[in-house]
Amino acid sequence: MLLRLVKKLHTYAGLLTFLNLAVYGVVGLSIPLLRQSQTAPPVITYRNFAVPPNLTDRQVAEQICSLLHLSLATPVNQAAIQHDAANNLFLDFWHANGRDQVTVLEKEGRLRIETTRNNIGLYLYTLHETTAAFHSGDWRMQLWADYNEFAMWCLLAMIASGFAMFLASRARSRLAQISLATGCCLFAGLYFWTR
Amino acid sequence: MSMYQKLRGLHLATALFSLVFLLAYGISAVELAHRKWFTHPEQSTVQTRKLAPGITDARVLASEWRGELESIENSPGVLKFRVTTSLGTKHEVAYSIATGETTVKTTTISFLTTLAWIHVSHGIWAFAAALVSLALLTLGATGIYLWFHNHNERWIGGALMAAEVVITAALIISMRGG
Repeated sequence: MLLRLVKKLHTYAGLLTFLNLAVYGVVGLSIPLLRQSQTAPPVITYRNFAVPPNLTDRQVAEQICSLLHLSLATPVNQAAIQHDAANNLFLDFWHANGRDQVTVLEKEGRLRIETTRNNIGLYLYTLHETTAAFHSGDWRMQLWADYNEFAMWCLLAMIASGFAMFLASRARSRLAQISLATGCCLFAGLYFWTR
Repeated sequence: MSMYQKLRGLHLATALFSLVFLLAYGISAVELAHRKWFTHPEQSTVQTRKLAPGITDARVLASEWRGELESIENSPGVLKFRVTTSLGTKHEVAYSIATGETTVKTTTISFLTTLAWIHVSHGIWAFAAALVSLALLTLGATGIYLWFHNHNERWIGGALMAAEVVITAALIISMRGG
């Protein structure tokens, strides 16, 4: 009875988080490639924008975020609000799709926008590390973050339940024992070799 | 041996082979996501050694330690650099060019922080991550087959999985658009 319950937990934890775990797998596979890959060179554009009077830098930043549809960069981080050498307001928005660096050229009435877009690998990498500790102003990212947190805990539950099922019903399997021993030895070997 | 038995054997063998790795990644994922939940103590020891004097290239000296050479500082008469291993152990070296007297401060990190270093995959651990990721994808694929083979849970399981895939795929695609 308990074993059936554990098996159900294991099965449903996997079914409920299938795509999240697939994202983890794809990201892990692409790590060696990601390190060598380069994002596309930044694209610079200009856009007319008159800064309304009597707004704080933060309020300007939030208006620009909304104008440029950068909801994934909200809430605006304090570190994003800077000034350049000419004392122009400089906004450094980081988000899952890359980076948008905006220089507010108030006297000219326009924005200089330098956009660097993450490739799909870096995008998925960002998604895989986004969990409930992250508070986004975009409901989609917050929903993803909360569900990704759930997937992380489901993975741990599957490890525990899977091992319990092995001990309860397959502990004598020679293949299982050899697999476990090989994995443990490989981990230990790598650990002691690299520490 | 039927297909079901073969894939069940593959699922079991793959899971057990990658068990310790998956546990390391899973626990470190919690640590990385919730750093405030844990303390991160470090321990340092200082040793003095005598190396051959007159060496002015930190790269020559750094070969004494395994790891990545970082942060070279060339002051008059003293060469300072840091070597960091794949698991986060740091060796901060101060070498007197004239005498060869060397002070080495070695800082080791906690077990949880070590797991976090494994997770972010420096050096050979990046290839271990790729191997374990392949295992994870194999577990997913074989797991789906094994679940589907169970007639009792096909409908409810299918409905749950379909809902999850549709919602998360929609989120991924939608956010990619900005």
